[in-house]
Amino acid sequence: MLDKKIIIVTPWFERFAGGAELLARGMAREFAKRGIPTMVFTTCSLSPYDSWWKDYYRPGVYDVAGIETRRFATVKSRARYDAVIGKLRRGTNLTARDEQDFFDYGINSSDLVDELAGFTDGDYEIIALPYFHGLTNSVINRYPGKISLIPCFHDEPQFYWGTTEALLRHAKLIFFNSAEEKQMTIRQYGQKVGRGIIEGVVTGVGVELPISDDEQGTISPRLPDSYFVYAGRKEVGKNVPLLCQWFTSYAEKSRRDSKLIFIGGGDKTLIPSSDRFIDLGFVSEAMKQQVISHSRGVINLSENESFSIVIMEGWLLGVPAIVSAGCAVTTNHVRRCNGGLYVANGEEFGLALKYLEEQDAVRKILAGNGQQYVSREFSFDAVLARYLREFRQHQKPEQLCSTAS
Amino acid sequence: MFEMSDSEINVDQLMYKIREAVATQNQSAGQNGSESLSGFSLTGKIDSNSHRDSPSLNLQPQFHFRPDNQYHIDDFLKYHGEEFLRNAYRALLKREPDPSGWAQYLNSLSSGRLNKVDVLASLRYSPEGERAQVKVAGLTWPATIRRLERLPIIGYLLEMAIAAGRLPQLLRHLRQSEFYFLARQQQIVDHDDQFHKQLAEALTQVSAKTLAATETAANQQLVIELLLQQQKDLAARQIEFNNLMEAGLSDSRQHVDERTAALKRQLDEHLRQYQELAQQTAEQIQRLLHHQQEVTEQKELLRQHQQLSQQAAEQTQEQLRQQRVRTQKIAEQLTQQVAPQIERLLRGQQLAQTEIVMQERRLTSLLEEARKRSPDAPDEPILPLVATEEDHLLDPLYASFEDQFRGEREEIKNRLRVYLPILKGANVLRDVLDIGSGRGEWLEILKHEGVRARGVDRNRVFIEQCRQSGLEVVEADALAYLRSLPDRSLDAATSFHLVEHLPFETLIKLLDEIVRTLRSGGLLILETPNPENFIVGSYSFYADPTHRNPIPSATLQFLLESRGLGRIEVMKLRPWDAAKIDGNTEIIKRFNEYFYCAPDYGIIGWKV
Repeated sequence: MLDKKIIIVTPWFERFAGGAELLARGMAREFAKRGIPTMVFTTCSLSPYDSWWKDYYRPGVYDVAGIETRRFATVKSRARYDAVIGKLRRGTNLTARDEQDFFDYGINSSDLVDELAGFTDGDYEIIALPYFHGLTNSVINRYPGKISLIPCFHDEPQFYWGTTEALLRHAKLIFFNSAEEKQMTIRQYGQKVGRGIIEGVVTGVGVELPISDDEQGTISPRLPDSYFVYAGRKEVGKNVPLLCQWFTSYAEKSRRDSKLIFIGGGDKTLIPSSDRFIDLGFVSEAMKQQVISHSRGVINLSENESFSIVIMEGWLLGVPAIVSAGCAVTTNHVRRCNGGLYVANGEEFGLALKYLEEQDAVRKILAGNGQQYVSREFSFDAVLARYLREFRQHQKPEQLCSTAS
Repeated sequence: MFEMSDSEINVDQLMYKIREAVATQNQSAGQNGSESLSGFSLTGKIDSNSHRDSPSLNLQPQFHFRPDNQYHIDDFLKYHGEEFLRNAYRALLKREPDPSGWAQYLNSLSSGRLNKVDVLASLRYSPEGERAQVKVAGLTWPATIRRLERLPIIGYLLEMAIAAGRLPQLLRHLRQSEFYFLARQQQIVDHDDQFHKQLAEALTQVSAKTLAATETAANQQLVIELLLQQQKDLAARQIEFNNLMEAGLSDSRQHVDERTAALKRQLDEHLRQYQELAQQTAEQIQRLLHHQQEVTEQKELLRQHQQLSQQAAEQTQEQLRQQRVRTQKIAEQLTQQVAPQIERLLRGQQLAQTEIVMQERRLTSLLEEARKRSPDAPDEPILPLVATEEDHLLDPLYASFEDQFRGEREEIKNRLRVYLPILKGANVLRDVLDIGSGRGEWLEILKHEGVRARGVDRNRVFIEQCRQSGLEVVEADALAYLRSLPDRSLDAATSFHLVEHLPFETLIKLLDEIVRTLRSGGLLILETPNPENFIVGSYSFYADPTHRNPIPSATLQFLLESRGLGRIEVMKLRPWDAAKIDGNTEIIKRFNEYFYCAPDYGIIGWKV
């Protein structure tokens, strides 16, 4: 057990369910469940899609699902942030100042950063995530060597900015979600930053099916017999248009009445108007699990994944995964556990879907392999044990002595 | 579609097959609208129809051998070259071609010297072909023609005539051949295209794998470079450290040299001082040696003096020790001499006190009786009581006599323990009556062993002593007491050295009462001097003036049996073996038997 308390610093905590936020939520819940006092320091913003620069909550201490959550006012000035975004959209090269402005005036909270000073004395293990937001950069750079980082790196422009190198230098410990993420980081920053990255631990992300007791658990009679599922935000960056294109081609060539069901928010206009596609939007957890568990496969063609909780949940629900061969993280997950198929083009995609629709036995074997993989590698017990081992190994000698006595 | 061999699935193999199927599908695009993944196995084993290698290009059909050995010439003529020759050999001669025949026929065919009919006829009508008896319909006539064509002049004319006659047919064959060759050429081209496509696909996959491997290698290279950089940093630090060390060492060396020189100077000074000191020390040592010699001599004298003193002390100590031993012996002798006297005196004092008590009792009894009777009952004589009391006048005397002659109390107890096993064997734990219990040795043993027993005796001195020791003793005449007991009320009766005091009639009455009062299974133990021992019978028996007659064991055994006891057992006790004379002569044996046999015997009888 750890004889310290844990503080998780993340920009949004409660409703917003992005990958990093889900990770933060799961970690806080599971650390607390294991008797480790855990707090969350976050902003008053509701989500990145709801005027994130505005305070939705009042600053103060909240109880979020049993976790002590301290909310701090956000930085309100966003003009310089918007200027950087404008440059990015225009494809203009950014200066170091621009990069710094992106983080300083993105989602951030100077009150939170100041407040954290009273918690860096060694009685707390502070973890900040993800690297992409200003808050994480601010707390880690303000207290060098005091705060650990879960970067959740993707292969995107911000990853290559100079700010990332500084962040990696100042982090106390670095925890990666996947071996591919660590590999990419070593490739880019290994020589510059050194052992901090090399010794960074691949912890993975704890995955367990959320328990939901609502009553929306029954399958809608409108759902088709044979369908695949995309669960997540509908974004261009997630390759949703490509998914629609490939699926249309598959359905036309195979002459099957297969459907593709979308679960989650995002841009609905990305989905063509066709009865092949069913967009359920946000659904309850129980409904989501039921829809996924009756599907022929969970599809995720995004090439910017640092972990992909969605395919893990699919495996836990007994469904194989279809991922993009262009994403090393998801492809390697699939290859490590033999839990699905990775496709490089529309033809492979079509044959993979046809195969999974026709081969019930194989589909179950693939899903079973994935299920074992998640249970073995990404149960919260396994993941948190990796964090705790690292924390214990990096305790100062005098702390070890006092613990021993 | 897919074959499911087992549950072991390798996704990489699966994807490989999917990509292969995609390639095949693209190849046959437009010919077949359906897309299928047939022909692949999930285990990675590829079936014969979908072999990964380029398919073999067969331009000629498969030859079918007939089991009835009946062919038509056309069955052979549709094959060409080596395939034709191999089929002909296998079908007509039923064997593989031999190397020489193979080469010869192929040369003849390629040069045009022979055609296929000639080869077939040659093989079929050879002696080996005749033996094989394979029928080739349609061969005879063309073969004959070919033979005729080889005749001089006639053959040429015949050949020309046949050629002219067959010209239309030859033209048709030429067109057929042209079509056949063009079709085969297209087949070859298609095959070549397919092969190249597969090759390109394989190369793409190899390239992808190579790329992945290159990436991995690049990553490893990065890590290695990183490590190398760290190693370089370390080396640089090492050099820096070495330089610092070198500079430090140089300073240290100089400091050490200076320090060494100073030390050397100090050492020289010390050496000189040491030499002076050594000289002084040597002189002192010399003086000390001289002094030591004197001391040694004095020590020797002292040692001799000490030795003499020690010898004198030892002699004195030895004398003292001897004196102490002598004194101790004298004290022991005196103690031994005095102790029995003291014991007797103490005993006598005790007896005297007891006697005084007895006398007081008697006097008290007499006075009370006299006081009671003189005024109120002047007629009743007082003499019987006086007579009774007179019977006890000798009690102290006999008690004293027994102490003198019976033996020490502990010795008597040791002797009596010989009867304990008999009582224990009979499981006697209560109701034991010791008749003439005397000093109570036997009662004491029984009490110690947890056996409930009581004694009966007339000697008041003995009774008083026993009661003081906590033993239960009744003052009564033994016969009178036995008569007072109910029938079968005793488990055992014992009497040691009593029967020899009794008149014969009394002895008989006593035995009768004992037999009456014993329970069935009860026992009687008697002990008495053994008159078989001459010394006992003629001398020691009469040491006790109250003894009447010695009773031989046979007599007593007879009496016990005659009064109703059975299983009589006689125990001769404590023979004087130590006093027996050595030797085997008859007289010695008899002497030992008469004089040193058991001085006492015990006799045990059981009531049935």
